[in-house]
Amino acid sequence: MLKNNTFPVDAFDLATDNFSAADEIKRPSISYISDAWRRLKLNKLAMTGLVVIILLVIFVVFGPLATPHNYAYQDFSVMNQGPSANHWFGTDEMGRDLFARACQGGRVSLFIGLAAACIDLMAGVLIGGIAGYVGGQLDNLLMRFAEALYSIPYMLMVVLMAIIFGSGIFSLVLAITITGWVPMARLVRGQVLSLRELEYVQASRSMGAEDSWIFIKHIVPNAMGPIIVSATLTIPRAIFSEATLSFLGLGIQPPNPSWGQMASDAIEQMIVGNLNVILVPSILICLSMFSFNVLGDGLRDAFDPKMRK
Amino acid sequence: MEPLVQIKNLHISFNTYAGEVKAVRGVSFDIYKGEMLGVVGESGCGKSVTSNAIMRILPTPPAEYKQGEIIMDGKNLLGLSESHMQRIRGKDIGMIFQDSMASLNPTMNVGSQIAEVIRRHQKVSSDKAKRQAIEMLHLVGLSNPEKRYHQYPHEFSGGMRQRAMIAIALALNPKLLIADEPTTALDVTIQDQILKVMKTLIEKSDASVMLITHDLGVVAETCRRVVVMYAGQIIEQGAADHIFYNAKHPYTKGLLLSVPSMKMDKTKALEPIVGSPPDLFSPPAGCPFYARCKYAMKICKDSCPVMEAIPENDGQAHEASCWLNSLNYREALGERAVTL
Amino acid sequence: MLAAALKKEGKNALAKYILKRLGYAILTIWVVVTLTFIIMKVIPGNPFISDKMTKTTLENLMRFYKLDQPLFIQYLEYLKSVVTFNFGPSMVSATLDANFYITRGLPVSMQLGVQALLTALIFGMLLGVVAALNHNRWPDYISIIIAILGVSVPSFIMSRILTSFFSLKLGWFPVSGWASMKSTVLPMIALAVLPMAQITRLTRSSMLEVMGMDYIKTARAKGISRIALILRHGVKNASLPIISSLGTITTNLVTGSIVIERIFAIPGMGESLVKSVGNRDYPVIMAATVVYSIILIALTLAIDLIYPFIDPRIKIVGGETVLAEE
Repeated sequence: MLKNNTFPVDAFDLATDNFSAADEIKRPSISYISDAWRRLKLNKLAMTGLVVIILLVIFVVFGPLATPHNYAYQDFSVMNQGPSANHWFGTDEMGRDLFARACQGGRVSLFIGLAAACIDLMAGVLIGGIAGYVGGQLDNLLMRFAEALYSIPYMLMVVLMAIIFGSGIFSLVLAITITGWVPMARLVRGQVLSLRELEYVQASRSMGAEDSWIFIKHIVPNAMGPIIVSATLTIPRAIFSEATLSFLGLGIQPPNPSWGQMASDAIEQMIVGNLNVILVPSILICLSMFSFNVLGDGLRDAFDPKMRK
Repeated sequence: MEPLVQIKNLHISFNTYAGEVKAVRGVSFDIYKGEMLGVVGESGCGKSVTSNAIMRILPTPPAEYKQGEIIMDGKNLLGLSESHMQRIRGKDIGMIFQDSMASLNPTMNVGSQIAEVIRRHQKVSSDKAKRQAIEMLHLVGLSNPEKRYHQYPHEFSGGMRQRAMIAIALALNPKLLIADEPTTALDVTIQDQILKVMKTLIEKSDASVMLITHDLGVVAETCRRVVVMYAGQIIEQGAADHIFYNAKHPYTKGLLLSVPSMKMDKTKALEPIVGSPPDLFSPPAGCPFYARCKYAMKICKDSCPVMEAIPENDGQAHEASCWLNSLNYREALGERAVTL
Repeated sequence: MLAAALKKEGKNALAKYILKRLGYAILTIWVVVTLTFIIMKVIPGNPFISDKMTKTTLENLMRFYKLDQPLFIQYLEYLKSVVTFNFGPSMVSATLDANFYITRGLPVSMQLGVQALLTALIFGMLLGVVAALNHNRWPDYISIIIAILGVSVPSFIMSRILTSFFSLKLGWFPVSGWASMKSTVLPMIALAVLPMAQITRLTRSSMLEVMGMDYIKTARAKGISRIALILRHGVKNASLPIISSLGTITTNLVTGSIVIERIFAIPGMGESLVKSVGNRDYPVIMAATVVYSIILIALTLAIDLIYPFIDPRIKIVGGETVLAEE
């Protein structure tokens, strides 16, 4: 600023460096996927979910190695105990170590969730992809069939399927996925259609083949986003279904544990039983559903092109 | 002429996650009764923020009125209570926006949106308000206004929607109409019609208009006075004739040169202004146009130039803030002094 | 708006649209019904297996329930029973009809469902609107927490929490049963938790989007009061996506009610369904399945039919809905 309205000697000499100041600092352009990952990292809730998932996985995979107890072994002398140095989570009404059961049950529940998500993904990608790519009558037929199948109330279908195929992990997964693939298929089909549209536009603009490949390189990661989100969100739905089915007596049968089975058992015996028997599986179920849900939400926000800064 | 609105030393900032954006930095100008004032500048120069500030419809987080006053009818609008402002909005001041499709409620028919502002400020029956709204639709030049009343925004064309917006803004004969880029989204032929509609209605009521645009052609056609903004500041203002024919700021000059006209030399290339406006997170201490100015001097980098009056033959006010106009410069360089 | 819609497209297009949707719904019902039949026949086990039964008794029973006929005949009989809404005698009880379980259970389940839906809608939308208007302040955070909890805690766990607190500890409500209005409260809340979480989150994001729109600025520039702004311009537009998701939400509600009825020993249709599944009581299973499906399909149909009239931007062209353009 001017002091006392006096101008320095060289005030009116021409400036020599001003145009360089006009250069903008351009932000480095990053790929779509690393941008999405960066945004996901900023989302504290989603990151919490991710950490919890990792911890849960470690728990169920390595837990049984850490404890000396076996999940099926019944010791009636230590029934319904609270947590102790010997039994970290306490014991249930049959004297079984809850920690070991939680680990084993976790393996079952998480496996079901993961398997359901994978099958939904594969079936969805396959059917949706074919429908979108081939188009025409086949597309029509497949989508009508999918719609009709999907109109059947989810839980109803799951219950009925569980009856037919009995209980047990694989039948359970089948029951859950038999109508669950439809939203995924619709999603994939939509993505394939927009991909085709772009290619078509490409061709009509007479771009060379090279450019089409580059385009696909950009479009496919874009398309993967919603598909990954949907797959992630299938997992808590599957865990929920498994838990509910177990509650209705159609899920995993005792003595094999799953979180749902343990929880429903404990809840049935409302008055008896110590708190742990209920708390342990319930908390684990809620934790897993919570973490997959927030992770899925976080992924959805991270992949959303509208929020790209 | 007396001023209807006086803006004095307005400073507005936006507090964002990335820091404070100083969007308006010391803006002062008057809007006189019955005049059409043009406010020009490129995107981001602060013209919309200033106009929204007059209406006080900036979302106050993140916006913050840091300093300054906006005087209308002897009252500082920035100091009034919200309920008081609500009585002023729509009644004493009307506003139209650029994107008419997004600016009209898609689930409400057009007529009701006009009737709404009428009923808000006047105790009339819904029937009377409806009739008034239909009358407004007629005044803005829409055919078959009874039918139009019941239609929805998506059933109107862009030009029709803009007319509807004018109807809403002028329904209660406000003293001031703020038109924020009213024609930018329209075809040239429609632009013309809309400006005509505005002018006709304004002339009847002797209202003032603050026309915000980046289109110099529109300004030249309609405005008597012009304010030129850059990077949150006013860098030149005065009678339209003076601004166009005797611009005294390099930016204004640059703007005029970069617009094609019928009279220009067709063999010469258009001269754009290189570079882009400064970052408003940390605005420069000196002249904001320093980095893009052909005539920049060393002093321009460190000190912001003062608003200097430019003497004109017809006595109309004209001022610009550029060191080239200062007496010291003229004296120091004498013969070699640059005249824009 | 109805008048406007009829005027807009002429009765022809409207009729075409309604018929098309109706036809679709009926087709889906048929698919469901057939699938149920197939499933019933595939399930291993027979309701009458018992060592004590003599061969002749078994034959008689089979004949009575027409289980001795070839499958195709059984299918036709089945279709007949669906259309006439007479599902025949229950296989478990000699005296009771399958229809009995439906007529007894349906009103109960409906009451539970409607109560839960209203609770979820009212509180969910309220919370969502408040959260959106207080973006990034504490009401917003609370709503996010509630939404997450609602989605993460399965209904049977939530029921247990509610019962142990409000019934056992505080003694405000009975633990189970459907005796009085009081006993409807806990099941209603337990059932409403998930839909409420979904509605809260949906309302919040929809409201946030709407409040950022330019027409809100225009409305503010008219000087209308904040309440009028929020309701007439904000909520009105924000509720559109919620209405269109109502189909999915109610579907979840229906399936959730099956579990809730079990936990709280409520004599609704879900309870009957689960029991009959365990007993292999075919007529009741089929009756319940068909009724549930019809309800859900009818609901989706109703929403499909109502939505174009609520959102003026949707036009009915050639039997389909399209977004109107200039």
